[in-house]
Amino acid sequence: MFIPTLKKAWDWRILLTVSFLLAGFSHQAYALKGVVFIHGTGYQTNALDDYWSPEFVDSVMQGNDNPYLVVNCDFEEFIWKDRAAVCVADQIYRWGLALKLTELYIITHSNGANVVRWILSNPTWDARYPIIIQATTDVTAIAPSSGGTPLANAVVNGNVFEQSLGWLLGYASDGVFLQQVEYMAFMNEFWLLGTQGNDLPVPFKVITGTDVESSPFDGDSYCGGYSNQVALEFTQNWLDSCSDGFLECSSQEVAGTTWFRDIQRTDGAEPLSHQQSRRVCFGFNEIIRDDI
Amino acid sequence: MKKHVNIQFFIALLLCCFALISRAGDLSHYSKVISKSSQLLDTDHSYSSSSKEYWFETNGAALMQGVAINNTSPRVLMLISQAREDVSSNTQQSDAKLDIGLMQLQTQSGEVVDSKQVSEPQLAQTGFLSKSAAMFTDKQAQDNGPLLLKTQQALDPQDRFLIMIREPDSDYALNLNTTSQSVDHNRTVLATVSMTLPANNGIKSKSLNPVNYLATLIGMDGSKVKLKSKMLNGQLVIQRPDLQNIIAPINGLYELLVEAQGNHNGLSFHRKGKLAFAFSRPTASFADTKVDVSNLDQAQVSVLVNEFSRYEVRAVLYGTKNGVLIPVLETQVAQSLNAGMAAMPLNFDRKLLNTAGVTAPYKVSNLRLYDQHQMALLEEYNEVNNVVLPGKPRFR
Repeated sequence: MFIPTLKKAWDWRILLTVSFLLAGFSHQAYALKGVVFIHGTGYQTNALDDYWSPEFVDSVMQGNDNPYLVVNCDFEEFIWKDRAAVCVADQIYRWGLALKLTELYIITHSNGANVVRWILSNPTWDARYPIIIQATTDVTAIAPSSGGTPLANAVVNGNVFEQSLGWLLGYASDGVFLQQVEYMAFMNEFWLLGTQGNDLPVPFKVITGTDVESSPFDGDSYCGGYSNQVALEFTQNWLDSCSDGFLECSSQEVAGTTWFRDIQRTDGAEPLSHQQSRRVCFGFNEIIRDDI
Repeated sequence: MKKHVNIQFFIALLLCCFALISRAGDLSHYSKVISKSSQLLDTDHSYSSSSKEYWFETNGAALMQGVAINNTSPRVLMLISQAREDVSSNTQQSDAKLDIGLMQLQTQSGEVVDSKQVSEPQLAQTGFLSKSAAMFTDKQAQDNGPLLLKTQQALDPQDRFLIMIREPDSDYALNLNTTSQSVDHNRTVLATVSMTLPANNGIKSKSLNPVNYLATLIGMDGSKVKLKSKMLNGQLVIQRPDLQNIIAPINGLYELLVEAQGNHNGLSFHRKGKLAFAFSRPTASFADTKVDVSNLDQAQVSVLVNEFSRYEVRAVLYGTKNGVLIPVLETQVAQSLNAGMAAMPLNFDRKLLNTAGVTAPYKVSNLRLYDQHQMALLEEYNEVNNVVLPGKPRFR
């Protein structure tokens, strides 16, 4: 169940009351940091198993005692909708309040970064947003779809039967619609901070996937269970040469600051495909772990 | 210990009361420090896109006979989608899935062109292309001319397919430009369109030959409006339509779909491109753009509200440091407002100002008015008429 945007004055007052109590917690002498995992496009009810994998989350969290939250929301929706950004904010807010957290380290993958950027860019839309902004120390955006992708255009354009009443096939949800290149250009121009000259209020660090290893004779190609070389070759051809199979590097790096490109830091300078960048592949999970 | 708890409770109660008093209605505000300045005053929202793609519908009968692909370069990528009953299609379709392995590309003389096929299950493994198969020629392909897409599969002649073609290396590009993807009621021109075509000597040029254009505006509800246009200086100028019932951007953007077809250098070309637009209704406007910055705590802007909504004002505050005006913080203030004249307090955060170490004189810039119920930018001003006390310098 999702909490709608608080529009009535009384709702706001209740929330502000709680917020002030939370502010009281934040004045503790020590910081209590929580880690949040925010999934990409899709409707998740168990993102830990179905999107991230317990192996990846456990690996990132290994060696620290920080609590973590794996968000489950509906990113088939537009990012600003109640079932998307408001859902994320509500889950983080309730969890943070319950655990009396003072700091948040947010990890996103793909479209999850756009949802977080909406929250960071539009604090007056929901009373929970400023509280989350205040607590957030880092956003690590893995392969964010900040500039959209021509493949989202392909999904939409290649599946719109103009003469049909039911005219959408495939994954052409509102979430995919929004990741079309010209849609994200609109969002970046008018609603999302983080592109050049539009500072986000917190550091937004990007890990960029630059290539797809698709040789059937290279064991690295199979990390993350991604073994369909011909399909990858097709999607790579659809994109710039620098891409993770779903997103071009320029799209991933259009917002925030590039923390590193995969090959700069991964074991054996291996690139991370869009699927591999949410799996335990080539040690990049350990880099995030160390950063936390 | 008990006394300590009581004091905490009392302080919390005081803070809550303060919150209730200071935040009448649903007023909320947020300020953040800004560090960069060069882009802040940039209200150039122009956007361009270029397409080397097109897509079209066909059926089983045509695919069995062979469908002409008007490619203009040897390297062709194709996405082939089938309308099937397992999704919300209104048409009766056979259950036979397209077997991409039985498809082939042929030259006009009937020679089979080397190509690779990706089946629907294979492509579905990417996680985002679930209902399509693909076919593509190699990067080293040589056959530069129209190809024929044909299947040896016995398809139901009524089965419907959508073929999407992308030619990454082609010199034939459809260019779409707009001054802004946010369309207010004052706009008359939506976009300009042109084709880039190769000249005989290989140098790209604007088209001199007639190109057939078709421009359509498509709403999120599937509604379509054919758009008026005229040629001006070699460009197609597309007029802004008068929409009766505007779908607010919060429910999705409009798509301008432009289709271009023609002949050039003996080749038929076909392109489709699109831009996304947010149309908004003029639900409010700034009554004036004067901001009295002589007393920052009282700084406000007047808004003329036409209908109830939740409105947001954003503004950038400049302060003086070492005699120079520098941007210091951005404020965002939102409040639900009924029709009529309203004053929106700008609520510049004093604490942030003090931290930044700036002093008067101040200046307000980059003033923007948004309607949150529409998710629309209604108005914006680079420079604001700042009112300061007599005798003090005036900044514009």
